[in-house]
Amino acid sequence: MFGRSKRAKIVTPTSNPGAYRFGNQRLIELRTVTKAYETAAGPFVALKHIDLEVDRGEFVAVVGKSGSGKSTLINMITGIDRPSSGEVLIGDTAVHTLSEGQMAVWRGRHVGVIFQFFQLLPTLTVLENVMLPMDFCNTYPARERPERAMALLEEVDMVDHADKLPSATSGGQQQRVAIARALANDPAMIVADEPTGNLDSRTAEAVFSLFGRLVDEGKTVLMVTHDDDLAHRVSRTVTIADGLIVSDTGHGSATMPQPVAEQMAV
Amino acid sequence: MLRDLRDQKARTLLVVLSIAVGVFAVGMIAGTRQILTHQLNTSYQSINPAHALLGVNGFDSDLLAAVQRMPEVESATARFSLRTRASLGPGRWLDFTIFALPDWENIPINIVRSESGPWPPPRDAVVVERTSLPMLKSAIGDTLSLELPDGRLRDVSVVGTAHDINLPPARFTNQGYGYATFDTLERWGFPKQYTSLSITVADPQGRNDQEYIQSVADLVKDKVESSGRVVTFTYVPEPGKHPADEVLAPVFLLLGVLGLLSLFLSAFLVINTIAAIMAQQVRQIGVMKTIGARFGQLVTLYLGMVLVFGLLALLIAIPAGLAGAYGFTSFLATFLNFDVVYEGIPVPAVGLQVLVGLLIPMIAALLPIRNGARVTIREAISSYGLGKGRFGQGSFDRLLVNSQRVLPWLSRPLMISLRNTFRRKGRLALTMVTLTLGGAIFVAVLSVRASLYQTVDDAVRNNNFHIIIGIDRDVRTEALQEAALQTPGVIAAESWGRASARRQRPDAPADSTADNSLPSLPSRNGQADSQVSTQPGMPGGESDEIRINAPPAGSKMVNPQMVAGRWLLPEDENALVVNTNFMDAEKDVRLGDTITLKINDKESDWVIVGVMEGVLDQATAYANYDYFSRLMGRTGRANGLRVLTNSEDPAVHVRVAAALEQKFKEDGYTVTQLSTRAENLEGTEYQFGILVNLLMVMTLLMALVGGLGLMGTMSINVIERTREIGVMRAIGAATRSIMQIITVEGILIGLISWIQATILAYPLSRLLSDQVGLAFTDAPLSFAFSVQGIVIWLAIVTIVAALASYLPARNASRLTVREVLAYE
Ligand SMILES: Nc1ncnc2c1ncn2[C@@H]1O[C@H](COP(=O)(O)OP(=O)(O)OP(=O)(O)O)[C@@H](O)[C@H]1O
Ligand SMILES: [Mg+2]
Repeated sequence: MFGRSKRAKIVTPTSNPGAYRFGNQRLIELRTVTKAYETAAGPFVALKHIDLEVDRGEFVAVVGKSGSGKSTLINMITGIDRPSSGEVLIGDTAVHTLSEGQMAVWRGRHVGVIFQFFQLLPTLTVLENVMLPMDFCNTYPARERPERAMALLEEVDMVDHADKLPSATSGGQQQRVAIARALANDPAMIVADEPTGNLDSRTAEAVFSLFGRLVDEGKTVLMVTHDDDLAHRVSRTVTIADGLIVSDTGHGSATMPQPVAEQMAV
Repeated sequence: MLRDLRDQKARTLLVVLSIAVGVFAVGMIAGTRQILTHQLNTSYQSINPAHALLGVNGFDSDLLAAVQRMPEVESATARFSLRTRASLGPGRWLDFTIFALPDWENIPINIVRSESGPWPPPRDAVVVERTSLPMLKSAIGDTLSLELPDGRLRDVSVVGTAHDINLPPARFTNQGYGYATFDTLERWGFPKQYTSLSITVADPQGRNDQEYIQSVADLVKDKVESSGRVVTFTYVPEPGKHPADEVLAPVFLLLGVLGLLSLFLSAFLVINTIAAIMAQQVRQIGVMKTIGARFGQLVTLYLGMVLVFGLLALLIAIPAGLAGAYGFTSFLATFLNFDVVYEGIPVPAVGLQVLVGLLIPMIAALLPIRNGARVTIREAISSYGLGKGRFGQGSFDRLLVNSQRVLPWLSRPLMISLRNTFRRKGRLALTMVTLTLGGAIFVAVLSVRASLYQTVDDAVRNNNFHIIIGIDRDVRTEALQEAALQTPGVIAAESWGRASARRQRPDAPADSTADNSLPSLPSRNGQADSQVSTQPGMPGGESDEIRINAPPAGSKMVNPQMVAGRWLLPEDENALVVNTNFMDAEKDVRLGDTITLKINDKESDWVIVGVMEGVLDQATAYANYDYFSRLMGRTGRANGLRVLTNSEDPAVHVRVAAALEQKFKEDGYTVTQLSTRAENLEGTEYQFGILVNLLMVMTLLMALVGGLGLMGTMSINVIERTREIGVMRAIGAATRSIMQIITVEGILIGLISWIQATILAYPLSRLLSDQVGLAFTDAPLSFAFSVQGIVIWLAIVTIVAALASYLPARNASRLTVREVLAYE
């Protein structure tokens, strides 16, 4: 799915041997990405010449103060926003070159996006919400979709609530459904912007360990968080301040040799 | 606040347009009514219309002078009229009436104005009434071939046009009119004499009093009759009213109702849009309340905003309404044969626009504004996440959620469309009302159209023949029929007895006659109350003209729809079948009654044995040919034929008519009348056509309002769901999917409204068809429901719905996810 052929045409691949269990394939590569917003007071530079590489199977936490540019950075990766200059290469796709429509389709297939607020569609049941990405991207045969959605709900322990409308479930439950939905098209990476920001600590813990399990299953997870506790339990922490990466714990060094989920088991 | 308006350009435009459409309709209709009524009256008064008109069998200038000298008469004038036929090509004729005037320079009453060419026309030339020129298919300078009543042909040149507002447009009556001098007519062998007399009354208070005018007309009638002449009719029109005034009243009533309806729908759109704006303002309201704004202040603030909307709408609606009013008046004027001049702004109509344009939106907005301003600070600042519209609470919502089980093949995107449709039920209801009414009115108008044509068909079925041909004298019936049947294409030919009769009403009791005596108007010679006139519909005296048709027994050419009693039997003698028009005119007559008719000054008694449906007909009685012709002393003789051909094609009828004329001429007859069914119906169909077009204009307006309403609803829905759209984008919805979800919702609304419109359309069609019939033909139309209309509306509503949701859908699909998620 994420071969290197297309990407090779755009940039020259550089081999970078890593030490990760799931190989050393690079999944995400940001090259001198700059993002400037037009504001009333003139252009505001939210990201300054950012270079970032993430390999498959990494569990990356993005931390920093409010307004430092975390969401902006994440949005570059999901294609929700575009860089003013620089390149965003995910797998074999140069994301910054896609049109809005192509971007949506690409995102649907390859990225699972999770927001802080529970972005479930209120007129669809929990089960229908999980099936929706498969409908949009036409990824699984229509007959298999309910079954697959049920399996995903099983994974996040929401099967009992499958036929409820989101409004009849709690915040933590909705966030779990959102994760199930993010997994619907079996994307290689999950990108979450403060997924636990609106949850109490126990629910947050549960959601976090769910992410850990996904990493164990081979997914790449990028997560913005304010929670220092959580941030220290991932394989790699990227800290941003004023649009610059000021520290990066993980890249090129293995700080967390054992499976994440084991470490986080409560 | 003004900044708010600017920021929400699309919605502002939508509210403003919504108001403007309704206000435009009101302005156009009120303006048309005002301009038309005023200008028609002015034009009509400017010709000094006659107060009374008398038909007289030939009189001279001496009698005219004598009438002019009568103290009750202000002025009098006379006309001679000659019915000719103008040739339009082989077998095609247009009835063409020529008028001659006593004094061309100084016409005191019913002034005719020369518009081009010499006046009076020179010898052997005619000036034609302006609306007749296109009907004659000729231009000024052309030569016209006229056939005189005795069959002689005379060429005249067309030298100019004149305008006579008293004459209906030639298209209406399928008849041409022109003017020639007695110089010309004397060369054709007609002596200088007159056939009609017009008067105005002298009494200034009496000029507006129909009864008084009638009394003067009766005095004039006595004067004419005492000189030994026969008065064939007396006609006192409603004083000061153009003849078409009667027809205009129901037209304006109908337009007024439609105008009100579109205003009503406009108000719905305002409610919807303001409600949406208020929903968007929730945060702001919360902030304002936090810093101390009170409920009353907020309401005033937002009402002020609505006032600005109203003012903006007036900026569009007033000029558009004015242009519409003048345009529409000019359009109507061509059917009334008068000219519209620009006379400035119709102040009352514009005043009405200002009033409704400012007041209606304020009233409509009151409720949504009140609800919006009531929001508590806590509610205002705590609204986040998706799901405005509280979906899932009602039992209907639960039904929709469960619909997944019933409709498992429905994909989730389609599910979203379906459920979103019913998310905002109040808004949906208002949109539905708009679209449903629009659709029902559309179908009703098409049904009226179908009914009009059905009525024509029924009229044709009642009198089932294709050609009428008349000659100048009585000949043996068989000889005529033989000649006709020898003509190729003719399959039947019948001679009908024809006459015009007046019913001699039984005398009313003496005291009631006294009640009918004239009001004692001041009159200079005290003679005004010496005569008692007969009023139509009142007992005593004579009825209006009744047509007698006497088809041969077993005629193939009558196909009566009996309402009561039976059709004529061959052995019937003085039996009559009358039509419903007769029964309406003579209300005291019942089936089985014996009535007295005066035919050619001879009275005879008849028994009414049946009543048939009269469609587009005048009061008519049918008798048996044999008895009738014996009574008239014309046994076995006729001066005309009704002919049935082997085809229903009007073109064939024209060809057969030409062949018949040729054949009759060869046989030595002089053809005085020749017309085909299509020609006879042309005028009626033309009038109906105008009516339908008029209604269609209003219907399009309704469709426009409906479409605007749907577009409004859809764009409000989309704005409200922007975040949801962003989420769908984020999880992989392609542009097409987003567009589809929104468009399907719009089309769904359209389809549901279509079903409702179909149900509502039937009773509405019935009502409209009956009312139009009563207004224009004095009887309900033969009802036909337009299934075609339903199908057309389905197509229209689908297309309108697709278009109305396309724009919001496109805007939505253009939003980037970041914009959407930042949207607050
Ligand atoms: N659309 C925009 N226009 C202008 N400035 C923006 C826009 N979006 C973000 N910014 C600015 O860019 C900077 C980075 O914003 P970003 O949302 O990435 O911060 P963040 O680290 O996610 O903060 P938080 O923790 O509050 O979510 C901030 O100063 C913000 O004000
Ligand atoms: Mg952020």
